[in-house]
Amino acid sequence: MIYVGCDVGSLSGEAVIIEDDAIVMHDIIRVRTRPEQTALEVTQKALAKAKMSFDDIDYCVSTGYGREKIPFAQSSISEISCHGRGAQWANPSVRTIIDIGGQDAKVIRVDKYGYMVDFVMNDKCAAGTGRFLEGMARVLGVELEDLAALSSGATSPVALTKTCTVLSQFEVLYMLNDGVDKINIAAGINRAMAERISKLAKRVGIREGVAITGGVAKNFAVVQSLIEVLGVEFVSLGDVDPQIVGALGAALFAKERWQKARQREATPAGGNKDTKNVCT
Amino acid sequence: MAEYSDRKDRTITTRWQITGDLAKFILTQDLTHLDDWGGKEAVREVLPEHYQKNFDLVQTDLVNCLLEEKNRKTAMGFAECMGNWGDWFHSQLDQGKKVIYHYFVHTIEPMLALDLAPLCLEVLSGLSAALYTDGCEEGIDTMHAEGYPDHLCSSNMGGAGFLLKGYVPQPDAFLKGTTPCDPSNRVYEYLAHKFNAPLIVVETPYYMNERALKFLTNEMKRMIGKLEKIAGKKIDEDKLRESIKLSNETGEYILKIQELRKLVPCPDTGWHRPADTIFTAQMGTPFSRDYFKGLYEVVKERADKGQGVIPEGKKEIRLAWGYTWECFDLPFFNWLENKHGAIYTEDCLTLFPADYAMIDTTNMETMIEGLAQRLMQVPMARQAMSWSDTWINDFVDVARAYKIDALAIGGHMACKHFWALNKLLTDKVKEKTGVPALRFEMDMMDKRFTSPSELKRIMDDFFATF
Amino acid sequence: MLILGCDVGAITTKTVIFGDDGIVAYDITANNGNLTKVVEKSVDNVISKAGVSLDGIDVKAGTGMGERYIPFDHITEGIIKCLAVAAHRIHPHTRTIVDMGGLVTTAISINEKGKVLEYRTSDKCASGCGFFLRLAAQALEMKVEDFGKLILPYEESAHMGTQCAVFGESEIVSHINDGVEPEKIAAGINHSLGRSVTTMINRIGGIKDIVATGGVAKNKGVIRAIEETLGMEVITLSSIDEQLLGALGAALCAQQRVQQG
Repeated sequence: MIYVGCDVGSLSGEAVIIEDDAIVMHDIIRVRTRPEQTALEVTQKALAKAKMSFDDIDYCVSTGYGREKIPFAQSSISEISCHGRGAQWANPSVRTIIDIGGQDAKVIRVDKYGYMVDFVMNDKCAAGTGRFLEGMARVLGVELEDLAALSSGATSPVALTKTCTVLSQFEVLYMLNDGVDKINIAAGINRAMAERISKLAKRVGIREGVAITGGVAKNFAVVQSLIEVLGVEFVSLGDVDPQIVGALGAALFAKERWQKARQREATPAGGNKDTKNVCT
Repeated sequence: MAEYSDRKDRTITTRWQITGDLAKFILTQDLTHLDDWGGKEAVREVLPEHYQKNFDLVQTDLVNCLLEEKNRKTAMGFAECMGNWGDWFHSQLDQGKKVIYHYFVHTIEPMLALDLAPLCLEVLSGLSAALYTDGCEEGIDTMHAEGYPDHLCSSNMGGAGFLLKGYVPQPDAFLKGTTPCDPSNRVYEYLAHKFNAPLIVVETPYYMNERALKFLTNEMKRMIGKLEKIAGKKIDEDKLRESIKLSNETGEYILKIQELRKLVPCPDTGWHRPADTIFTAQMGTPFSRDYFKGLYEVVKERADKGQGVIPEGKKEIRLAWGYTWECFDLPFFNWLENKHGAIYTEDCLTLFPADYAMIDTTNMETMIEGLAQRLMQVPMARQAMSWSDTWINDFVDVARAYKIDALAIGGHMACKHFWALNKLLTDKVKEKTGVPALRFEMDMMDKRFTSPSELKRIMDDFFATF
Repeated sequence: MLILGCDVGAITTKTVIFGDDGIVAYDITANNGNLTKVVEKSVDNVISKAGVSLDGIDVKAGTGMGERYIPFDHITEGIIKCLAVAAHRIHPHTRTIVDMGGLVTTAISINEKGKVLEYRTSDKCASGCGFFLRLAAQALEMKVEDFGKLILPYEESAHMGTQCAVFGESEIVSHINDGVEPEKIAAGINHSLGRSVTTMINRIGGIKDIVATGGVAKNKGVIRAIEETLGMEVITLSSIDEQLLGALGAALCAQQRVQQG
């Protein structure tokens, strides 16, 4: 059985294909103009890499922004549930997930089955989200991917005093004009990100088994800063790319939904109680 | 060499003790600025080892501000009183006295008369913010992690967070007069809940009249009854009298200094004004009395000579602060004097009414009524709690009596009381006295909201319009 | 006497040379790259337009948030005062100035003598500013200058729910995704900006004549939106480019200072 999960975010879109209990293929692309386009493209790419087609999909669940608009998805589920599920599958000891996306940041607590117990989200303010880093990368004149490496060896990270992402960018601009070393500025940026996220995380409470997901999880400098600020080590997600955790969770839900649908078919409503349930 | 406690639950108070001693040490050395000896690092090297770590924490600008000639005597008085208070408080703890965390509106005479050890939550926030580079942000963030939004008053948050972190002793009870606001009540309620400790509430009225006084006197009696239960004994009338006599004496000095600030040029410096609140919270102790006595002597000496506190040749700009100030950058007020010639006349939080000193110590009845009267009149709370005319009239009076040139209001961002009234206040003051106002947002305790450099920029822009 | 006034703002640097008969020359340069170099370039431009040399300038003044990057000796003037002095000089009936700059919006009330009575600045949040307009223009693939022409009634404009400069960009993208015409989105943005500026004016109790300055004042759509919400006329000064008031004010203030000895 082939199950697909598709997660369309504000900056990137992901698709994950699972077969039985393993991830067969995944892909990540930058968002297109419309969420349907993003979903279609990323799923197509993942399928192509796995030498499959849309016809091979038994069930598809979509999540993220615009999830209801995905025509080839049978159902859509919130990204909070999907993240919880996906992370817990990648490492069963996960109980707290810090998801830092392009435009929002979430902290989700789950139980041992991966179901959400509590969560908090920041979607009102760009500080502490991928956007913050994007803007900073622009001001520093580097690619977003290179921002992490920039802070290596920083001796005196700067302290950013402005909350607003836009005002922060100007603060950094002025530091550059004052000749402050980019390395120290980058380190200060990481610290500011980490502190913002840490504040959010504490509102829900950190339980042991903390995983970090979302695009920003690939920024090892921010992750390192978070480890320092929170005072916890993150658990590994194994081979699972932290950015695909949402799509993975969606795929897992796809499996679950497909199985439930099959069970319902086998036991008709008002049912013949003599019929044995043939589905496992 | 003093013995400093390394108990976790005395972290904050021990820090203050050490800073007090450290300040005394530095102030008796021959330097007027850390750079005289090569800067902070160099000075650190020559300090006795047990002061070094504390020195790292103290704000550099503050040290240099205290070393300035005009500030030294007051700084020494502050250091001495803070150090002495620290020693005394720890000795109370060592004697096993019960710890009562109280809101700043309460003066502590009844608690002293019951051999209790009082500690003001807001002073925990304010003094930490004033002295140290890390301020009380850790406390504030801890409370935020408990679910308190960042738009509620940080004055309670700092100390509350420290309590949650165990940096101060476990509470035996909490004391909260309901003035001026519900959010502050909630914090105390929360803490009482969290620590399973009794919360003694003193319900304060919105009005300030005979009926209110009667009600409040009754409330004070109830409060004493509850405190007695915690102390396990009846209140000692003589001890109460002794304490109130001290606080009366303290109050007299405070009021005299207040009068002297009306002079032109103003003979009082600004850096210590936020710090004064710490010692008004200790009214009833000899430390508080000593501090204000020392301050009075310094101010009187200048006043007698017709001396001001701004550099020669600068025109004095007389500022009043219409609400509270910031606690995290005391040298800012010194900077205002030195750079702009702007002196500090009054602010809402230390504006004492004329009858604050006069508690009649004849008997228990008169003393309790006097304490009630004082609670009803406590600065800032009375303006915030009661109706708009209190605040407005107070500042129209201040504008006239202190001959101010401008009203600056760094509105504490969390305070709805103030913000609901801010424009009405400045409009009325303007209408009646012609004095212009500057209104801007800041947080009293959290320097991350409006940073010290932002504050200076705001004031630079403001003075340019003069 | 020739006076140079330089206003280093958030997004642009403005320089004017002011003589006995008024403004001799001016320059507006975008803040791209090193700010000191930008200032030097702006100054070079203006002195060559005026046909003078820097040494030929009698007094140099500087203002604005980036004033400290002005490399040559100059008198520093506070931006609030500069705006007040300049607006009053050009239009003596001015009683309220609303400066809509790249990053900050300021509302100032002055008296008949041009003295500042009160002012408020939006210094915690970059919403409603030039910086946001630029991002919006990029997202809509339009020129910022064309925004001003897009004046539509509020009901016909796209609704902009967020004030935030960062999230506003996403809101624009989602409108585009929903097939809303760019013109309606731009009109919606004008309304949104108009609202936040109006609040600022009301906060200081702005009375007429209300003069709008700063780069965003060039956007007639925003001006119209403010007028509708405020119920009062908002003037833009025809004799001077809206962005130059700060620089002119710096020159005038410095001149006053020098003349008073």
